[in-house]
Amino acid sequence: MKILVVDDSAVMRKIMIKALNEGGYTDVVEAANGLEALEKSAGVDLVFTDWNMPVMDGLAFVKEFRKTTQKPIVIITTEGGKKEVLEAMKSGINDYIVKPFSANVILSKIESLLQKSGCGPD
Amino acid sequence: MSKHLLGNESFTQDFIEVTIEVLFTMTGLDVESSGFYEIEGHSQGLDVTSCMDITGILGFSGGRRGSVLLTFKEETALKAVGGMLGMEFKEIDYYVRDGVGELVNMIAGGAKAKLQPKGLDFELSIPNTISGPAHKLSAPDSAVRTRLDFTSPAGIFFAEIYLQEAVLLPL
Ligand SMILES: [Mg+2]
Repeated sequence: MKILVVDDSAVMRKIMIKALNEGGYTDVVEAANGLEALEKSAGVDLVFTDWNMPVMDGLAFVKEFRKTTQKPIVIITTEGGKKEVLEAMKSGINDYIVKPFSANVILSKIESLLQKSGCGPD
Repeated sequence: MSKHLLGNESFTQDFIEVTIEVLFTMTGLDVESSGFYEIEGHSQGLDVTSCMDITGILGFSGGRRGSVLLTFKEETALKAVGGMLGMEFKEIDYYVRDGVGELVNMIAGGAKAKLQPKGLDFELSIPNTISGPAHKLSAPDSAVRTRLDFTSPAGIFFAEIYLQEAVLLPL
């Protein structure tokens, strides 16, 4: 399973990749903004994306990504306000994580998304 | 008339709680609030960053304009970002600057979520980090800033919030 991690913070990307690797997910690509994420999104099975990023933010990326694929997207954001979460849901995300989060939240989101799509971990 | 149409105390407590939660969840540091107070206009002697080594700052726009900053001594910043990544840092580098920026980003976002239901809303900018011994940041003359003091096992640190007053339009 190929996972795309998008965040403008290098520290946050490191934290997420470490959590994914520890959970056995080693095929991970990273991008620092939405535009770079679109360029690297071919063949990706699942996306974790930040919201607040320069160049192209998370919402704009989700809208573009959704034009070509329905692969699951989890938005990871500091924007925990109700208004923002609703806006993200409308743009086509499948789930969200509010920062600050602990690393194991990442893995449990993957599990629940895989179960929803009917293909549990092998 | 009070200068604070919403009363700073109504958001001060929210920023304190969010700062403690963000630092604990992300860095593992057990942080405690050790007080807060207001700084009016030109209180040069109280310039919070001038005795610190690294400051993350994030601007608010949209509903209410202003900013929030988080400022550390080098050794505290190294331990905080070291805690985020489970690594040891020896000097302020790209990752330490990035990590401090992300901490202030999370504090601003968390505060926004708490303040939105109280009718205080704003958009978040991208965080910036400034480092170097004795760096100074200045706020507009009219700015009333609220400074928050914290203690942690890695040293003391400060946050400062500046929120422009709401403009009341005549009926
Ligand atoms: Mg970001």
